[in-house]
Amino acid sequence: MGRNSRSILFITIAGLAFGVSYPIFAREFDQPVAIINGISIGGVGGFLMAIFEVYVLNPKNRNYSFPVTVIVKTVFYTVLFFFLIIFIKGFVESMAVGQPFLEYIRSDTFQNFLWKEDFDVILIYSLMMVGLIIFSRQMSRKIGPGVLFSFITGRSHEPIEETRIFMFLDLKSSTTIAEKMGAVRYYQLLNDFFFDMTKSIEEGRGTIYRYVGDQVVLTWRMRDPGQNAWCVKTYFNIKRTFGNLKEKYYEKYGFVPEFRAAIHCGKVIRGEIGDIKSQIVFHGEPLFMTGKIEKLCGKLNQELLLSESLKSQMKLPSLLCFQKVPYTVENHSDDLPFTLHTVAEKETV
Amino acid sequence: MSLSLYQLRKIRIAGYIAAAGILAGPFYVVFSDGFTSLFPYTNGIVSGLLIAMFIAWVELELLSGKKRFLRFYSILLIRTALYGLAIPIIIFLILVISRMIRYDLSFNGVLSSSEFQNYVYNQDFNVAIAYSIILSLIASFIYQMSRKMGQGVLFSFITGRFYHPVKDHKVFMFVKIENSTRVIRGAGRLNFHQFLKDVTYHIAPPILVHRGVIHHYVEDEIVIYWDQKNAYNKAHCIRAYFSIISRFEGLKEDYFRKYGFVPQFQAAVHSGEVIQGEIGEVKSEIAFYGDPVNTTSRILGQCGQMGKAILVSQEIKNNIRLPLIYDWADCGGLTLKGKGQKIHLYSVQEKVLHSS
Repeated sequence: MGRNSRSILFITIAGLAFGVSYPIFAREFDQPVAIINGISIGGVGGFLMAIFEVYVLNPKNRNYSFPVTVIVKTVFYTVLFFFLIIFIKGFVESMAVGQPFLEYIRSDTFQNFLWKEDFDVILIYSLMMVGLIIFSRQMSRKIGPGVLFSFITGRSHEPIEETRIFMFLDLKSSTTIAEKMGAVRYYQLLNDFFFDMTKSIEEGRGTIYRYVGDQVVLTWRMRDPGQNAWCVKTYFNIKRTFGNLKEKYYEKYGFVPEFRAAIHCGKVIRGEIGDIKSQIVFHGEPLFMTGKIEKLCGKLNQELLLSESLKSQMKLPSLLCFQKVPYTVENHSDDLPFTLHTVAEKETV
Repeated sequence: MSLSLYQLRKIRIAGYIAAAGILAGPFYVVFSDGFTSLFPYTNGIVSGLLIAMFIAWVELELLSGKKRFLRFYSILLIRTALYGLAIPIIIFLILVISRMIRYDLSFNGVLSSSEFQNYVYNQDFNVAIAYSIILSLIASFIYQMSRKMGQGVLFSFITGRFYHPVKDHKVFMFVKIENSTRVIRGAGRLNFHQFLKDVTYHIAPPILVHRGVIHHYVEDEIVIYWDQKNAYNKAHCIRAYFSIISRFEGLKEDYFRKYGFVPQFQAAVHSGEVIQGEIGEVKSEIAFYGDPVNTTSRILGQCGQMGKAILVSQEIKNNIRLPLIYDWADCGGLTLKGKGQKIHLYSVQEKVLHSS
C-alpha cells in the first residue's frame, strides 16, 4: 500500500473513532440514530479531510507560511463540517422519521437543533478533532516517521540489537561553498538540498536518521537481497532528482550540487537516550566504518561506494551492476578490512 | 537556611504553574452558573490554584526521578489517571464548600440540597469529568512529546519560529565525555548505550538550573546553548560546567560499580553570531549554522592537547565576572584552520583556598 492510501486510511479511521466517541460525551449512547450520525459524520468527514490533506493542502507544498495555513484550514474545515453535519444529520434523521429531507430540515425539531441545541458543540468538537489529527500528523512527520510510534510504545526504551544498512550522503566540496556564500545562503542551500531529496527517500522506504552539517544519514532495516537494493535505488533516484533541478540550483546558488554516498551495513544498538530532549540513536562499528568509506569517496574520486558485506546481501535491479573499486592507501589508519564496490548503470546499447 | 539551585528551580516552576492555574481558573466561569455573581470567579481562582498545586506536586515530587524507569505510555496513563480523577474531585469539593459558605449549610446539607443534586445528576457534571480526563490525556501527551523533542522545539515547530532562518548571538558549550571508548572496550556496546543513557540523564539537571538549553547529543558529545543574557548573567555558562562536575562527583561510586569507569568531562565555551533555522522536511531539526559552531568544536579538540578540562574563548571571558572561587588561566592563542584567524583561549580553575 502506498503512502497516500495509508494516510487516507489512517485519517478516515481516526475520523470514525472520533465520530463514534461523540455520543459518549453527549450521553446519547442509547440512541442508535445518534451513533449512526456519529459514524457517518466521522467517516465521511474523515475521508473528505484525508483527500484534502493528502492531495490539496499537502504539507509538501510548502509555499504557505504557518499562519496562512492555519487560517485557510480553519475556514475550509469550518465550512466543510458546517454543511456536512447539517446534511448527514438531516438525512439520517429524516430517514428515521420518514419525512422527506427538505421538509425535515425545515421542521421545528431540526431548526431547534441548529439554533438552540448542540449544533455549535458538534461543530467545535469536529474542528478540535480535525486539529488533533493534523497536529499529530505534522508532529509525526517532523520528528521522523516511526519515531513518534516508538516513543509511545517505548520500543526503544530498552536498547536492542538490529542489523541495518547505513548510507551517508553529503554535498560535495561544501566547505568551499559555505565560505563563498555566507551562513544564511548556505542554510537555504542545505534546506533546499535536504528538501528536494526527501521524496526519493520516502519512496525508497528509507528512514532519515539525522542531519550532520551538510550530510544526511539514512538507514534501512536489513531485509532480503531484493529489498536491500532500495538503498542503491534511492541513491539513483536522488541523483536523477538533482539532475532535473540543475537549472534551479544554478540560478539560485550559482552552482550545481553534486553529492557522494557511502553505504555499509552491520549490527548496531538502537536505543533512546536523554531525559529532557530524547533522541533515538544507533551505536556501533558500522556507523564508524560508513564514515570511513565516505572519506574514501573523496580520495578515490567515486560518487558511490559500498562495502563487500553489503554487496553480498543485495540483488541489484537488472539495469545496474557492481564494479569493484581497487584502492591502495598509504595511510594505514585508512585501511578497511574489506573491498569496496561502486554501482554503475549498464551500457544498454 | 539557604536553598540549593535545584530547590530554587523547583520553587520557580511551581510558581509558574500556580500563576497559570490562577489565570486559567476564571475561564471556568464560562461553564458555570453565570457571569453576574462573584462566586464563580472565586471558585475558579481557588480551584485553578488547587489544581495547579496538585500538578506541581505530582510533577516535581511524585513523578520526578521515577520517570526514567517508566515507558512513555505508562507515564501517560499514570498522568491521565491522576489528573483525570483528581481534578473532578477538587472541583466537586470546591463546589460543595463554596455552597457551604454561600448558603451557610453543612457539608451533608449541601450534598442533599435539591439545587446541588440537580447540578450533579441532571446537568453536565459527568461531561465535566469526561472533558477533564480527555484534556489531561491530550495535555500530558503534548507535554511529554515536547519534553522528548527538547526545550522549546515543539513550540518553535508549531509557531514556525525558525521556518525562516534567524540570526542571533548564542553562547555554545560542547561537553565531551573523556575516553568514553573505554566503556565500549570494557563492557561492550550495549553497556555503552546504557552508560550514555545514564550520563545524558544525570547531566540534564545541572544544565537546566543554569538556564542552558540542551541542543542535541552527538555520540559522546552534548551540545548546549544559551541566549546571551542567560549565559553571562551570574556566569551561568561557566558554572554549569562546574555543577556538572560536582554532580558526577557524587555519582562516582555508582558509575564505577556499574561500568568500571568514572566519566570525566571536557568542555569548550564560545559565542558568536549564528543562523538558527529549521532544516529537513521529514525529521526536522532546528539547527545552527555559522563559524562559532565549528570554532567551538575546534576548541573542544584543543582540550585534550592542552590537557585542560575547560577552555573558554576571549569573547566569553570579556563578558563574564567569575564567582570569587574561580580564576582565569591564560592558555595562549589558537589559529583557526582555513581562516588564518586567531583566537585567545582561557581555562577556568578553582582557586587554591587557604584555610588559615
